[in-house]
Amino acid sequence: MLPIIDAFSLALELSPIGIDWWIILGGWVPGFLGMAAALIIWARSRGEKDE
Amino acid sequence: MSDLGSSYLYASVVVVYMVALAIVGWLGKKRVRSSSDWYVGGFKIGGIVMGVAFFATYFSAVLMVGFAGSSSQWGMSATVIGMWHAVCAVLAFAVLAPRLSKQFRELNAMTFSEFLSLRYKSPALGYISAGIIAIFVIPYTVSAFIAMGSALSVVVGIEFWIGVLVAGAIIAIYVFSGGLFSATLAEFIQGIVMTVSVVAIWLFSYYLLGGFVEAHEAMAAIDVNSVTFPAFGTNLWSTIVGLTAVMGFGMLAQPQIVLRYATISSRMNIKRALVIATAGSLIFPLAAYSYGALSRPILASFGIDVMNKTQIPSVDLIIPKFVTIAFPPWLSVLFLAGIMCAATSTIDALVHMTAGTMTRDLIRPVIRSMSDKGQLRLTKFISLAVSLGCCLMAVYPPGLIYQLTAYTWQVLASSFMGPMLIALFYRGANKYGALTGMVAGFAMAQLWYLFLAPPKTPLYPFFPGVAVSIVLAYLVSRLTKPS
Repeated sequence: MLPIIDAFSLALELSPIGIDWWIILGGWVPGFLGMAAALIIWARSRGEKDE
Repeated sequence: MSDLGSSYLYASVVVVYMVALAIVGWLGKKRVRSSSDWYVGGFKIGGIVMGVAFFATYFSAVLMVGFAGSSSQWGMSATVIGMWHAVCAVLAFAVLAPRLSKQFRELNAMTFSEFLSLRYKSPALGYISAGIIAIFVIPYTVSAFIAMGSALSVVVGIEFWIGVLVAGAIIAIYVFSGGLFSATLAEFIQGIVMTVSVVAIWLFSYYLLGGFVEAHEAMAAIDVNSVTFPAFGTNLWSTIVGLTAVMGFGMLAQPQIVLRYATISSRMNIKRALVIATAGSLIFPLAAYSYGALSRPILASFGIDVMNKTQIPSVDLIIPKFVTIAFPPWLSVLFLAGIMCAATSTIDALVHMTAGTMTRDLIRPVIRSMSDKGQLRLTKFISLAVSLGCCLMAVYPPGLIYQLTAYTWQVLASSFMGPMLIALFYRGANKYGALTGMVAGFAMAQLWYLFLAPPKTPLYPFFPGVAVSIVLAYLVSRLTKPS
């Protein structure tokens, strides 16, 4: 019975791409949000005059 | 391809690279007319070039070989360390760079120590920070030489010490001549080559394991811990969380990187550099940590267990071995080119900064009569001496690459985070606060490293060191503010 429970809990922890949700939420999501923030800051500054 | 043919191919890559750098050095030399040009590129370097130079300096062979090799044992959780680099690149360019570059230009500061000294009107602050930089950047420079020497020795099949000496010769060629112009121009080219190399190895690793999800399943089949985040409080948890902070947030106060984002020519260029630097800081470490983790199941299919020390005596040898065994020769050649670019782009920044700091902040105040040309000559001579000295130290590696790097970054971040942040964000910042923050942060990081570092406690010295540096720099400035 225990191996089945282990396999079930592991399946819950793993995302559809086969990696732990903690890795995706704790690392990949902040990383891509950082990239999005960089693009937004750059896009908003395009109309500004340079020094 | 025969072994002889491969050897000629690898040797020709090294020779072509040396010639290309010599040309870059010569081009840079033509643009260096004053010490300002050598130190800060005359504040004329554009956003796109500086964006690429930023991540070429940030990431080196240390990541491609050392950290990636370690992540073959840590698994996919190591990608968390890499992904936070992008967040920290945004903080560097969107929050710190606009204020820092303005202050650098107003003060006409050429080095990080000079910036602190002029900003706080305290020569003592300049001397102490220059001393810390001159001593503690050395382990990091040595680690980059070790990474390049390991890669050259395994991929080309030469002795390790010869690989390290070749690395030293390459660096000496162009840092000696062109200063920041040569360094950033070379870093621009190097940044592109190393990114192409890392991404190619990353994608090919997934291809070898049959696809994105299949690769993670293959990893889980060998060890399920390699696709899960480590349990709270374990040694691996301390390592991942600690390195995420040290290599991400710690970067903000690394003098060699600060010089990259504080010397951009204008506000618009900072925004351009922001996008390039963040994209590089997202893709490069994600690719490197991922192929490091993927190397475990791939090497297992060749009968090599990365956990077995008799098969692979040092984690620093895992990636060079992985690339030579699992990949076709053209990809090994690309990897070799990437390693050379990654190592030299970081070493040149470190040598450039250390030589500049030693000349301008330690020697010039003693020999006041030194002319601008004399200063430039001395800086070039010291840059040569520093690169050769570190190269010789790397022949007998004093530790693992990631350990040497993490140690240096923790000491530098703990010393400089407080004085730098209050200089930018607190009007009442003064020399007493800055000096206290720097000395206390440095002392706390050293003491924690000696007595309380993991596995004794789960915390890396970075956390108490940086906290003490910021809090004391602020509190002492506030308490000693003139009424």
